[in-house]
Amino acid sequence: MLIRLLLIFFALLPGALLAGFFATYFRRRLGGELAAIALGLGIISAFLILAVVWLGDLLPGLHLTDLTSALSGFGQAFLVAGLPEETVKFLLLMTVIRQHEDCDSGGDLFCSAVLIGLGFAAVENILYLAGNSGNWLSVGLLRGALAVPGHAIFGIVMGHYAAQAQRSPTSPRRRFRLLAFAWLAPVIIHTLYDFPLMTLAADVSDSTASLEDSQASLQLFVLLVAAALAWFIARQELVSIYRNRLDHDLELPSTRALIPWRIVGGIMILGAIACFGLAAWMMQTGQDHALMLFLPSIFPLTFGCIMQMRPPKELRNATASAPV
Amino acid sequence: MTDIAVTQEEPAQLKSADSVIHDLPEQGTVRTSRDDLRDFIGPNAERYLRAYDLRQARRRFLGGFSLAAAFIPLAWLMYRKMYIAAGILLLGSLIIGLVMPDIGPGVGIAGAFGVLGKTLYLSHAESRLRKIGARHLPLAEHIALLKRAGGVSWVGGAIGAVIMAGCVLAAIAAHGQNG
Repeated sequence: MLIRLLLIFFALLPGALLAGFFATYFRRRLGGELAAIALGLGIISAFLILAVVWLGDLLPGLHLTDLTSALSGFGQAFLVAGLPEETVKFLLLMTVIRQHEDCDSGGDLFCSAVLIGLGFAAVENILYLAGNSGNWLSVGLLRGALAVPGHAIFGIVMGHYAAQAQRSPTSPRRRFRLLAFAWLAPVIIHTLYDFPLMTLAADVSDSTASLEDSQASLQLFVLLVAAALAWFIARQELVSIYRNRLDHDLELPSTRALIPWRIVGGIMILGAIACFGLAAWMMQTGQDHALMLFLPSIFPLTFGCIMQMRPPKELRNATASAPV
Repeated sequence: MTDIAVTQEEPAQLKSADSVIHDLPEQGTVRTSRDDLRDFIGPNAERYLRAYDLRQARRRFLGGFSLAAAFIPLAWLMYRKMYIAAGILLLGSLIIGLVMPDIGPGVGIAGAFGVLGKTLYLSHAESRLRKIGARHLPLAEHIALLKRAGGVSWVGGAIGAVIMAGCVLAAIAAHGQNG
């Protein structure tokens, strides 16, 4: 029982850290209730996907797991992971969060989308670790560095475009285009993220060294692009937004409340740099699997850098010197 | 069109079943928190209002047994737009199921939701009403916001039902395989 509790704690930790940072940063704008609803919707969306798969498997003549094993890696990544997961998250964001009376700005939609992604990732992580109870520690480390931040990145992309649509109320065509992007961009990124992993799993019988290398290179490319996109969007939504003043409810986050997250982010950056160094040394000495150490360090480095972000200094100083 | 701001609700007034929270002197009408609650609840409001009245009169703390909350708790929570509670229920059931696989949450959850369901919903509604009341909106906007924030969601209920059906059938299949 203690091991199971430890497994659950370990499964929830990466998502809780990322959710804690975003909830702290947006707390004054979003409010606690909407943040909790977003996390709840993430949990609900994960169970909905699972329930549909379970029900599909139990219906006579419709075996979704057989169907998925017959699909190619790309088909699986698109039809099993990217399309259904991101569509459910997007629909919940637009039907529940956007209709909530506290959701009145683009920033609210952005943070909610990230929290929905992290709620989803928490459930998925628990189920994966419970399903791999023999080697849950290594699976947990790998998923904590790749899959959980991955879901946060899909949420960042979805939330950014949904927020842009919210900020363009006067142009219906632009709004529609942005909403379509908010739905499709995470689907595409999720599919590309899962595609090399699922191809490797599907083609495991006829896998060759060159195929594995090309898939690892593709994975590296996708992770780097996704990380760069997440950093760029986070910079816009967490820092530049205060200069551009696109939202009407802008309030500076508490500097004191962000200090623990800067420390956590610093630890993540140091850990990622250590892994990069170790991977470089392994490459130099010609050891295998150097890339396998390099890949999981990309997202922690990205989120470590995002956790160092703060509103522009002149605004912080202005607030600090303002009379109470 | 009356554009009179909603007067701020005193905490003490919330205790009273017929507390006046909208004063419309021009029309000579009053609007009570019970009216707000009726607009917020939507379908089957009278059942919940009966439980509310008993609570306000301090004759009963619990609102009475709710069959829907007992037998289809997740679908009921989502139908009534209590998404935080639905998320907690799902995550809690998953964790309890993993930590104590022999016990499981089943009957305990049904009993707890059956007994506490109406009270839970009334507490949720009152907390939302306080937040909406604090906005001091004109009456028409106030009522529109109440109806939007409250009411029911058939889609939410359907999602809850699908999740429950999936979980039950998966549990039956797992039980059959183990057996």
